[in-house]
Amino acid sequence: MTVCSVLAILLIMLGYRTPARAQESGVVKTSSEGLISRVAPGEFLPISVSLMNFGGGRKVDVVVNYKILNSNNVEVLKDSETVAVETTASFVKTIQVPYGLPPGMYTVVSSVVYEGQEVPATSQFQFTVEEKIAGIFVSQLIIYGIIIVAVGIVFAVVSRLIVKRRRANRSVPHEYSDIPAPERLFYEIISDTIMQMRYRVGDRAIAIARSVDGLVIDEEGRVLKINKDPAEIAALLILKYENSLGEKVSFAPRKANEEARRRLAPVDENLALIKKYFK
Amino acid sequence: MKILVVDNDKNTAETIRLALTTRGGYEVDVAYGGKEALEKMKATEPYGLLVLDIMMPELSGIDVCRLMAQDEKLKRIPVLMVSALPVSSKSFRESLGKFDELQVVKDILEKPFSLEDLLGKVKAVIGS
Repeated sequence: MTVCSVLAILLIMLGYRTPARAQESGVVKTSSEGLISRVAPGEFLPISVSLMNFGGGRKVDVVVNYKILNSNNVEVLKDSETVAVETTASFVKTIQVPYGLPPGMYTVVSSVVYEGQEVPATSQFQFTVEEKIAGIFVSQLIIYGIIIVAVGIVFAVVSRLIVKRRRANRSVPHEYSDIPAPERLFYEIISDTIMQMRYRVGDRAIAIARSVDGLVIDEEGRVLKINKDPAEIAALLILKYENSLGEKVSFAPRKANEEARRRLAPVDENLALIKKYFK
Repeated sequence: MKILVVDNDKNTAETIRLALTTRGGYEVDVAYGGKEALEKMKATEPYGLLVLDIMMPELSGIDVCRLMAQDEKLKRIPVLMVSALPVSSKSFRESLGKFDELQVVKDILEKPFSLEDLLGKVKAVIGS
């Protein structure tokens, strides 16, 4: 029986992402498709093998040789096994990739030897050897890292935009045109002070302002009612902000004229008193 | 024993007055400002106690204390200082011993306070 009397097809599949590659030579045909495309040193490389005997149904022994070549076509691993084939034989061959194998592209070359002669047709597949860190390939780890950083950057940018937008909304002064002119000045001063502090420390400024007895505000810091001497309320509010937040608070009328200065003098007096006896 | 309550906030002054008269049984006068308080103190027999707010327009509670300290008759009237300011804070307690004008202040009460606290402090200051 000669080599030509047997028609064998060697199908070796290696790495599901590796493109199939077939070679034809004489009566032996080979083709392949990968199961996995990347392994770490020390891991097992699964190779799906199919042999087909077109030699009239007689059982024949076929030796299948496996070689792993590096990118310079230097052999780094060799293995072989004998398989009896009557009509077809399909199995998965696993080869352990040596520990310490440098990362890079490698090729698995499989060939069939029948009755002492190597069939010139071979099937070959490329795969990558790559180190793993904590069970994850380094390249995947880098990709995950890039994705996390990208998502983090997007999150930070979006958060900043939201914060800026909210701050911008907070920095729109409330209007008190419905309040009589003599009281309006204090409504504006107190409201602007709350707005200034809200811009700096967030909604905590609202909570602090709400704790001032005699001052009624809504959740946006709009002054709804002042039930006590407004100069006292303004001074108390400033004192509470300075004590609670440790930040210097300033206030100024929207229209700085002599009348406003005169009306705000009691606030300054109260603040001077606080500074002298409470600091 | 007559008490003078001094607060520019009418609601607060009225609440204190009611508490002292109905629950404490004291005779109470009310002044809605520092200037009015000084006039009342000078015009009538010495009060047994002054319940005094701090932040008031024109003449503050501290100004009233300063003027009282300079007057031989008025400086004998004990003052219970009542304020929304942090009068119970360490800094203000230190000020009480530091500034001469605050020598008339015998006790302090921070707003908001309960009527029991008020009556207890009033009783303690008068008793002392």
